[in-house]
Amino acid sequence: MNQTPFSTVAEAVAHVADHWPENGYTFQDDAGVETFYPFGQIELDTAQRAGAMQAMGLKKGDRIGLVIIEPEQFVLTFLAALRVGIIPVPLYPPLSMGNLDAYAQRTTNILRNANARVLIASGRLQNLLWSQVDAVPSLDRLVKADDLLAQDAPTFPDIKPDDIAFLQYTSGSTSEPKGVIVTHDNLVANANGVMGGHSVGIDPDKDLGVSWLPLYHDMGLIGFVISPILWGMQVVFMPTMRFIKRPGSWMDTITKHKATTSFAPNFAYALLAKKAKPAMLDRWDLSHMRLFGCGAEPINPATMRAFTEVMSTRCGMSRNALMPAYGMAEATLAIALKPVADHMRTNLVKAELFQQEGKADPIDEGYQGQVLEHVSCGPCFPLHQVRVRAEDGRLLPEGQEGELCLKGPSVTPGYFENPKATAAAFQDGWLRTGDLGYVLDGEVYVTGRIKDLVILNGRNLHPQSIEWEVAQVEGVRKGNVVAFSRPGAASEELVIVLESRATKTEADRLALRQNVQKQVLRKMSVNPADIVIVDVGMLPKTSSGKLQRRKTRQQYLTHGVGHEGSRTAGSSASTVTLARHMAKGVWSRTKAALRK
Amino acid sequence: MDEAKILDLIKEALNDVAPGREADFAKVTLTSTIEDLGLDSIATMEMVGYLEEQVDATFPDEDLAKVSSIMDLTALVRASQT
Repeated sequence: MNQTPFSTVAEAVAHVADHWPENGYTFQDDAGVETFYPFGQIELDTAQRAGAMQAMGLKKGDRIGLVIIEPEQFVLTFLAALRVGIIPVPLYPPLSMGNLDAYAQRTTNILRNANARVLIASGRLQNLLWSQVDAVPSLDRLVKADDLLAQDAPTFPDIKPDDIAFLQYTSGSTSEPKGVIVTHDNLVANANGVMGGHSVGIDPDKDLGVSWLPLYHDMGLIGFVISPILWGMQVVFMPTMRFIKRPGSWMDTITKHKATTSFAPNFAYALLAKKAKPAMLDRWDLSHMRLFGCGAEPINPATMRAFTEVMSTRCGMSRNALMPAYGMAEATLAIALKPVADHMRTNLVKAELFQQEGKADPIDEGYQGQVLEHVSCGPCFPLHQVRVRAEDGRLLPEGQEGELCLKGPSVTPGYFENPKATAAAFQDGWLRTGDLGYVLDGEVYVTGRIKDLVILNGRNLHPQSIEWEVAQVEGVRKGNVVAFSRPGAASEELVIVLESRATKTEADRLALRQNVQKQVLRKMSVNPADIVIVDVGMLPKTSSGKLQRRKTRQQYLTHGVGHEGSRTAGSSASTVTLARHMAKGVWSRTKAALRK
Repeated sequence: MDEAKILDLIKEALNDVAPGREADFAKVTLTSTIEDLGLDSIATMEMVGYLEEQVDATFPDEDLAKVSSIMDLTALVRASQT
C-alpha cells in the first residue's frame, strides 16, 4: 500500500473498520491493564463524543483545549473533534512536581492564543485547571473528558482536505506561543510519506505499533494516533509516565504484543539502557521489531550503536531496526527516514574543514586529524524536497552545510492567526527550518541549528524563556544571560552563561550558581548541566548591544567564555571520541551485565 | 512506615537515579524542596518510579503534580500504605 484510501482523518475514523474490522487500538492504564477498542468501537464512541461537543454549542472551526492524561480518553476525544471539524489544541498535562504556577501560565497563554472556547480535561485534573476559565477570556467552560456522552447523534459537516485538523503548539516561546496549522491534507501526505511502500511499508495485517510518547507532541499524536488510523494499523498506547517511571515496561509491552514498530527520542534509548537489568534482557524478545524510529532531538550515533549491539545480541533485534528520522511540527511530523532495509549510516568527516568551511569532506584512509560523525536521516519522502541555502539565500552544493529548507504537501500553511510569524518562516515558498545540515548522495544530514532552541528530552525550549527566569535571580546582571545547549549522550544539555558584578569570592559564585539552578528547576523543570559566571562585559554582543547567543555557544564549546576545564569539545555535532566516552558511561551497567 | 524510614528510602531512590551525589543527598531533610534535589523532570519521575517499586504502589499523576517538598512526597508514600 503506497497511500491511504482516505482523503481526510474524519473519513478514516468513520470508515477504517470497513477495511480492517479486526484491527484497533489497545490502551494501557497506569498499572498496565489493557483495554482493546476495535476500529468499529472507536467509530461509535467518537460519534457519541462528537455529539456531546455539538450539544455544548461547539461547531466546525471552534477551538478546544485538551489536557488529558489517559491515552484512551485523549484519543477518543481528539478523533471525535476531528470528525466534526472542531479544532483541538493538545496541551501537556502537569506531569512533574513542584512547578504548577509556571505550568498554569503557559497553558493560559496557549489557550488565549488559540481563542479556545472549551477546555476538556481528565476528571482528576479538574481542580488544577479551574483557574483557566477566569484567565482565558474566550473560554466558556471546563469539561471532564469522561463526561462527553451525547443523547443525540452528531451532524457531520463536510470536512474538506484543506480544512484545519488541529493546532500544534510545540513551537514558540512561553510568552508568545505559535500554533502550527495542520490540515487533513498535511496529515494524509505525511502518513503516505512515513507509512508508504517506498519507505516503512506498513502492512496493516502484520504490523503493530507500541507508543508511550506524549499525545500532545507530534511524534506520538501524528505518528501513532493519526497515521495508523489512516492506514488501519494496530497500536498499543502506554501512559507516558509508565515508561518514565519504569522504562522496561516499553520493551515488556513490545515483547507481549510481538510489536513491529515504535518511535522515541534519543534520550529514551539512553534511559532504557541505564535501567535495563540482566533479567529484563533475558525476557525481552525484539525479534519482530522491524523499526525503532529515533527523532525529535539530535541523534547520538554512539548511543544508537550501543543500543543496537545489546538488543541484537541479547534480544534478537534486527541490526537494521534503528531508524533515524528528521522532521518538525512545521512539516507535520517527518520529512526524511532511513530506508528500512539499510544499516544506520553515518558520515565521518574532517572536523577542522567542517567547522571552518562547513564542507563535509569524508575522511580517507590514514587521516590523522579530528573527526566528526554525522548521522544520515535518509532521503526525503516522494513529493517532498529539501534544499540547502547559505545565509544570503544562495543554493549550496552537495556536502556543504547550510540551512535546510523544505517544500512539499506535508509543510504547514502557517501559524494560526499569525501572518507575521508565517511570513518569517517561509522564503519563496520554502519552509526555513532553522536547522543546519547538508545533503549528500540524496540523504539528509542534520548538523546543528541556526534558530535559538534548546531540545531537552525531546522537549523544545526557547532560550529567551530560560534567560528571563535566570535574570530574576538576585546578583545576575539583568539582560546579560545567555542560555544554549551542548551535545550529550542521552539528550542535549543546558548551559547558562551570565554576567555578575556581585560575586567577589568563590563562595559567592557557588551560591549564585545554586540560586540560578533552583530558579531554572522551579520555573522550567530543567537542570542546567553547567552555569558559567563571567565578568561584566565578557558576553559577546553585536555593535548595537544585542547578545550573541550563537557566538557565546561557539566560544563555550571551544573553551573561550572564561571557563576553566570545559567538559565539551567539538561543534554542534560531538566528536567521535567524546560521544564514545559519554555513551560508555550510559551503557556501562548493561554491558557489565552482558559479560556475566 | 515512619517518616525516618521513608526519608531513607527517598535517599536510596535519589542515589539510584543520580549516582555519585551521595554527599548532596545526605543533606536532604523533610523540609527540602523538590528543586533542592537538583534533578530534571525526567530524573525526578525516575526517582518516583523507584519509590513506587519499593512500596508497591502507583502514585496518581494529579497528586504528584501538587508535591513541592520532601514532606509532601513522604505523605504520598504514607497514604499509599494505608
